[in-house]
Amino acid sequence: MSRKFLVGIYNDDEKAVSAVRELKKNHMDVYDVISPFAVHGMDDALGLAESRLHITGFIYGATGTAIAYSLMTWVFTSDWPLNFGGKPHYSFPAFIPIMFEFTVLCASIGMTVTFLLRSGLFPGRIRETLDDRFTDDKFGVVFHLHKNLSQQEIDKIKQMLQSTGAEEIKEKELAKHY
Amino acid sequence: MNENFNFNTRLKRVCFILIAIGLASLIGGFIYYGENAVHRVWANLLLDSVFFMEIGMGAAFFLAAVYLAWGGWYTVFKRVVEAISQWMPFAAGILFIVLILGNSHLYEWTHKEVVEHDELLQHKSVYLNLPFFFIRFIFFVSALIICTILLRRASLKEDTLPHGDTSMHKRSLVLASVFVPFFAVYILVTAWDWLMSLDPHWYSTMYGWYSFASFWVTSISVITLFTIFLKKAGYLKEVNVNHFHNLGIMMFAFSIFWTYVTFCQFMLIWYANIPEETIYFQHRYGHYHFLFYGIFIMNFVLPFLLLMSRDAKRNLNRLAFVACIIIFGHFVDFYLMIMPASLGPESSPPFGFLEIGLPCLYAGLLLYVVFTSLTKAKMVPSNHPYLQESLHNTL
Repeated sequence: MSRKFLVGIYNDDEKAVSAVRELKKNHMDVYDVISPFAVHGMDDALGLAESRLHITGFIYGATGTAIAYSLMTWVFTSDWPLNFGGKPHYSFPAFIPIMFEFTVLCASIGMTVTFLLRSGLFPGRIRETLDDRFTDDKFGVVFHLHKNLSQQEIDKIKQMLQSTGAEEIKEKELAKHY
Repeated sequence: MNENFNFNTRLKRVCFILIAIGLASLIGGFIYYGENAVHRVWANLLLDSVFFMEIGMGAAFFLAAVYLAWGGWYTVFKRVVEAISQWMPFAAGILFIVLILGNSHLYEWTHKEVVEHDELLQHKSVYLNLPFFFIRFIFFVSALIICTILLRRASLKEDTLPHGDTSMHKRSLVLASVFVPFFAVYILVTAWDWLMSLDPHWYSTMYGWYSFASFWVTSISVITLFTIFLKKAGYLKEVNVNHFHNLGIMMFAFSIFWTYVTFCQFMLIWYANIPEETIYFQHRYGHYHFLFYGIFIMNFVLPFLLLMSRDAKRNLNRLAFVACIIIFGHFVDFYLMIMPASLGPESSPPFGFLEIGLPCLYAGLLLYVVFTSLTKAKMVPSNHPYLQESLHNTL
C-alpha cells in the first residue's frame, strides 16, 4: 500500500528541533523526523519514549560475561587444565580481561544486529528514502498525509512548516511501508 | 538568575561544629596516642590532607579540562566548581604543614640511619630526599594554585565586562593550557611523593594513574553533591536534570576508569608474582582483607549497577546517594593506600574517634571555604560565552 508524506526540509538541526517544538505546541501530528545524525533534544521535542536498545545491550553484555566466565572455568578446570607459571587452575583475575572483552563484543555486535533488524536493514537492502539529502546535510520533518485530511488541513501544515523556517516543502509517495 | 548565595548562620554553625569536632579529636589524638602510637595520628593527618587536597585539585582540573575541551554544558554550575577549586590553596597549606612537621613520622626514607643500611634507599635518595621533596611540592603546587586563582579572577572579571566580550574567556583558555601540563606531571609526582614513598621499597608505574582515577571521580562526586545541595536549597534554578545526567555519566564513567586502572595494577603484579611487587598487596590483604574487597564493591559494583540506567542519572536523590558512596569508597581507597604502609602490615585497620573526627575537621573547612567563595560571586556566570549552550543543554 503506498503512502503519501509531506516533508518539510530544514538546513539546520537547531531549526528542526525548534520547528518540531513549535508544531507540537500547535497539536500537529508530526509523523517522524529524519536526520543524518542523532540530534540533541529531538527525542524530547518529539515526545518519544526511551529507546529499549540499551536494555538489549545490557542483556547481551551480561550473556557475554556469563558465557566467557563459564567457558573459561570449564576449560581450565576440567576440560584441559594447564599449569601457567604455578598459578591455580581456577585463576579468576586472569579471566577478567577476557570476560570484559567478550562482554563488549557481545553487547556491541548484539546491539548493532538488533538495531539493523528492527529498522529492516541488512546487506543488499535498498530502502526508499524520502529525500537522499537526509543522509547528508538536511533535516526532514515528516507528516503522514492520510486520506481523511482535508485540503485545508494540508495547507495549514504547509503554512506552519513555512513559518518555522523550512527551506523546501515537498510531497512524496512511498510504495512500501516506511 | 543572579541571586547570590546566602551563607546563613545555620550552615555556618554546621561548619563550626564539624571543625570543633575535628579539632577536639585531633588534640585528643595527640594526647591519647602521643605516647606510643603517634604514627597513627600522622597517618590520619596525611590521609585527610591528601584526600581533601586532591578534591580541590580535581575541581581545578575539571575547570581547566572543560575549558580546553570547549565544553559548554557545565556553565550554569561553573561557579560551584570554581568555589571547590578555591579550597585547593588552603588544603595545600595544611598539607604542607603536615608534611613539614610529620615527615619523619611518616616516611622511612627521611631517617639517615635507615638509609645508611639500605642499599635500595641509597639509590633512591637522589630523588627521595627532603630538600628535593619540598622543592617539588612548592614548585608544582604554587604553579597550580596560581593558575587556579587566576582562572577564578578571570571568571569574576568576565561578569563585569560588557556583554559579548570574550577576552577573559581567551585568557582562561591560556591559563587552562598552562595548568593541564603541570597537573599531568604533578599527579604522578604527588602519588610517588605523598603515597608511594610510604612503602619506599615498592614501586608501580600504574600508581599515579590509580590515585588520579581515585581522586578525580571523588572530585566529580563532590561537585555533584554541592550542585544537588544548592539546587535543593533553591539556588541554581537554571540547572536542570540534563546537567545532572551529564555529571552522572561522568561519575559512572570514571568509576569504571578507576576499576580499570586499579585492576590493571593488581593483575600485572599478580601475574608476574615477583615478591618485591606483591608485598604491597600482601600487606593490604591480611588484616585489611574486607576493605580490599569493600572498595571494589563501593567504587565499582554499586556505582555501576545504581547509575547504569538513564532514569537513575536523572534522579537527584539516587545521584546524591551514589555520590556519597563514591566519596566514602574512595576515602577508604586512600585509607588502604596509607594505613597498612604507615602502621605496618601487622596492624589491624585503625578505627576510632580519630578516624571519624579528623575527616570532620577537613569537611568543615572545605564547606566553609566553598560556601564563602560562593557568596563572593553571582551563582551563574552571566557573561560566559557558552551560557546559552548550557541553558539549552539537552541529553
